Amino acid sequence: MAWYEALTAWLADSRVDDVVGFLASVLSIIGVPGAVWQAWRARSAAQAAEAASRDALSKLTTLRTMTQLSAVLQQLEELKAFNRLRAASQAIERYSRLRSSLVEIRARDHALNDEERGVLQQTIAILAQLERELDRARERGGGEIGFADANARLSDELDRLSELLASLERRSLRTDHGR
Amino acid sequence: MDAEKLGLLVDRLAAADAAGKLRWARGINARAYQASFPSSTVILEYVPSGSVLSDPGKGSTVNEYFQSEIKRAEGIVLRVLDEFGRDVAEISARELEEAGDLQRAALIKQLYERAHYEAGGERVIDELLASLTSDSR
Repeated sequence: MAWYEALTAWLADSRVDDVVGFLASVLSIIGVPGAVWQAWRARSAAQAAEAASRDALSKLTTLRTMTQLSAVLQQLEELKAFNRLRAASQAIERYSRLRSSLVEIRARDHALNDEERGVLQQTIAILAQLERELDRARERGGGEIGFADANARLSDELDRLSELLASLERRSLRTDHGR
Repeated sequence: MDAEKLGLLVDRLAAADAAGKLRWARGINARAYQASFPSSTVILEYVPSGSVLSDPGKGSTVNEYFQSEIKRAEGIVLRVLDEFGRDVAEISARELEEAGDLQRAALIKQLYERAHYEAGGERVIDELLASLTSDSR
């Protein structure tokens, strides 16, 4: 195996193994931070994707809240009309449904702050009390409550919920323009 | 409901109101005002003499029920509603007076006056007067 002996002799003489070792060290010095950087980039991309997904979900929830609130406002107007028509059965059913819708909004939308939750609670409390009064009036055989007063309170709640809806719309627009 | 706990609630409400943290609104009756929190509501109501407006379910016996009614009659009543608008507790200024807690009875009355001022229209008149005064200068 003369060629093998010649090759090893040449390698020993030329010190090429040192050069290869040196190059390998350089590559590994460059490679480790590179790999770390790639990993960091991948992690940042994953975090950005997660944040974007959270943001999209939050926007969808806010949009759903705004849609539901708009429906609640319309139903409150209809409830006032039922009251004017002395349609107690429809009114009772509507009081209960509206209250449930507001309870659901509050439970589902975690982005609502304490003040906004307080506005929903205020309307829930008014609806619950009016529903109870109407039930008691029907139990007594009267079937009616002071509809003018009831509608005045419902109008107060309509105003408060309209303000809340406008505030949510403003916040939603601010978020969109802020990016 | 633990009376001491409700007494403490009266203290905390008075402190929160003094700090301007309560937003009073009109209640369903002409003499009622309410302030709502994220998942509860406090109602202050003036009950005129001879009124009967309590839940028949209150008190486990007829006698307890009527005693409860008598205690509630005439005066300021503080009621608490839960997150669904159900009545969960109440205490009246009269009950507190009878129990010798005159300080808290007075606090309930002060709270009612403040709520009446905030939600009953007087605040709007005062603000209007102040605005007209500053305009005329």
